[in-house]
Amino acid sequence: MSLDSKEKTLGNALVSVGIDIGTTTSHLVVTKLTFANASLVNAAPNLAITNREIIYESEVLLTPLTATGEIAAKQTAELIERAYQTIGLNKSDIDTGALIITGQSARARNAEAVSAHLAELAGSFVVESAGPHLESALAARGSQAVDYSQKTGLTILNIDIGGGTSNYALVVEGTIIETACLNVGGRMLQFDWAKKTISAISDSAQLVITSNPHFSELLVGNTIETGLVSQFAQELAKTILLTAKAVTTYPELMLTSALSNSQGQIQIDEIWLSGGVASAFTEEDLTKFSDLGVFLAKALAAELTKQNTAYKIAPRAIRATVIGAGLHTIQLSGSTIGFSAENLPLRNLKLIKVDATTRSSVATQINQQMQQREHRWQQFPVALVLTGIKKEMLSFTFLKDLAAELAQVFVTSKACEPFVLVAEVDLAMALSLILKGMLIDKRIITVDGINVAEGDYIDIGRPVSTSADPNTQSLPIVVKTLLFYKSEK
Amino acid sequence: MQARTEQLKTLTPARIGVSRTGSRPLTATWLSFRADHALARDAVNSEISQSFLEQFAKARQFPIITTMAESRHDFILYPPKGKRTKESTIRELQTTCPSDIDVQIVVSDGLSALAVEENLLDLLPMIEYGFALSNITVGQIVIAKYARVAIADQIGHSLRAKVALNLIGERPGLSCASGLSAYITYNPGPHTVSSDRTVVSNIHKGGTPPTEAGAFIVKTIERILDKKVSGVRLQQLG
Repeated sequence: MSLDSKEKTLGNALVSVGIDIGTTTSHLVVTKLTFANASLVNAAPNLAITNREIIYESEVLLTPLTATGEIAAKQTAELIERAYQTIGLNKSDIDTGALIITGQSARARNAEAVSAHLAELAGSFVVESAGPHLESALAARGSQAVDYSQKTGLTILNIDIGGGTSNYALVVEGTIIETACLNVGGRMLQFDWAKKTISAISDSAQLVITSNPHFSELLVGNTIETGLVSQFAQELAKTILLTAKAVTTYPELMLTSALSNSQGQIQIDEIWLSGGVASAFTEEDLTKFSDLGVFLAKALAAELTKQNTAYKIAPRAIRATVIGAGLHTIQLSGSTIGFSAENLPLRNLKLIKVDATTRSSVATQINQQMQQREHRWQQFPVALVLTGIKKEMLSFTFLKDLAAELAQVFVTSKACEPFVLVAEVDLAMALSLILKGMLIDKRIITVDGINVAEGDYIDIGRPVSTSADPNTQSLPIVVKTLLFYKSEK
Repeated sequence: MQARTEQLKTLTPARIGVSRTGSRPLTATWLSFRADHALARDAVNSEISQSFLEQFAKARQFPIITTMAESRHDFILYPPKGKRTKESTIRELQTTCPSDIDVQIVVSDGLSALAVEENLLDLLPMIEYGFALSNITVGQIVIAKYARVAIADQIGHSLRAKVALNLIGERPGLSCASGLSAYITYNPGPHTVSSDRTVVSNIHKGGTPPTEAGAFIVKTIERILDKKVSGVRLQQLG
């Protein structure tokens, strides 16, 4: 383990852990995120992550499940502890990170409780997250499709095919513009190769079988007929590729809306494949795993060749999601911000988005959303996201009027402290200063430089800095979703 | 790839991917270069407009002074004249302005009067608001024409200010003619050299917005007053 302690004391690196509890396999990576002042000499400082490096990857671990399909919390915790021991890492060495429960595991009844518990166990600012869109985005970042698209300007569709789900992310010039999730993966059928029988059929597989009488012989306990299983895999491969073209054949299998590119408005330059099934493309032995994985990989390869579609297997395909979680969940806020460190870290604050350009309606918008989302603001703080503000609008009068409006909302709503405000545009230190003049002795946290487009919740970590100047600190921020799938019926 | 070039071009105001015809730039490129160059030259040669001074300085009775330079032209030709003002001007300021203050603010045209006009109405209220909140005393704000950075040190010294703050127009470039800088000196005086000054530069709508820069300047001056140093020695504190 090459954790450079000197660099840590210099304070220009964060140790980040990524943990992915998937349908079939779980992974853990430890990464080092180096940051530096990316601003011009003498200009107001701005910290940015300048290098992302993987310093440890766990082996591919089988996700421990109980007989009833719940996540075995104790064994999963042991996996994490053992990985930390192997690399000689203490929980206290971990600055940040993300634990994501993906695919079918996110459907386990206890997913929510387990993920919160495991995140806590993994480190003090390791955040838990879940959700089909988030999975898709993390996989595309971890597969390097996003980086590659950024560098080359190519449009890439990344498909991460795991045990339970296939996650799609459409990347244009380095920006993920759309994500989708299909409930199809390599664990839909499980086999007992010793007895040569089918040992388990997932609900999603059952759905396909029910709509195709041809597959009616696929029953738990029946002998594995390689031919029929291959045809079943072919049907799934076709479905995966049709979904890539935004064509939905099994609406019940879509866990999100379909991609919107059905007319092919966006020309896709490359298709990238990641996930466990992608990593099985070179596997010859059908009996290698006790599930459909290799069948599905073979069927996909054949189908892609038949359709004359070029594709790439992502480097480290099976670990794409966890690498995404370890390397790409953290954003650094702008460096001119306002906060008091004793309030941090803050976890799981709901994001309430407010169009700040129509100031007179700010209060109305906030109240409406609090009601809609049944949020008790007197007891639990939220993060107000100020949207719609452009740089050229940032006059002193604009900020002062906005601050006055916000101050009044905080007071009349008897809002729970700290008051957290988030924006993308550069305004945090100014807004914080003005608000402090209006709300004496209230705890206020303002951060900028943060894109919250894809999230519902925010976690804010303790400040990081490259200098002793308290005015040049940044806050590590995670914008995330916490969508655990509803347990089935 | 065309789309990629277009996207890259949006990331910088620099003249990249402008194509050419033979060995010469395209006419459109050449014209926009000439226009930007003209803007930069105008900024250097222009004075703070009367209307701006009427609206901004007269209302609050800010004294408007000149340096040793007698005109804009004189200032451009003989830059050292912009560093100091006459003794008579100093004596006048000493009789009309409060002294023994925390911060003396000087607004200088420097090499871009445009920068002052475009940024000050958002920058100055933010700074004053922040100082008031932190009980930092400011004397009378002085407007200096034909002025360079060091003028604030002379004025600050004569009024016994702990800190001199010069808000001054930056030398214009071909992509921006309205950038402002803040030069901050702790214990300003004849002994002050460049390394004694802390700078916050690139203040304009396309760089650090004036409101945010104002808040940052307040925080930076709070720290300077606390540590009793500025410039390189402040940086050396880490």
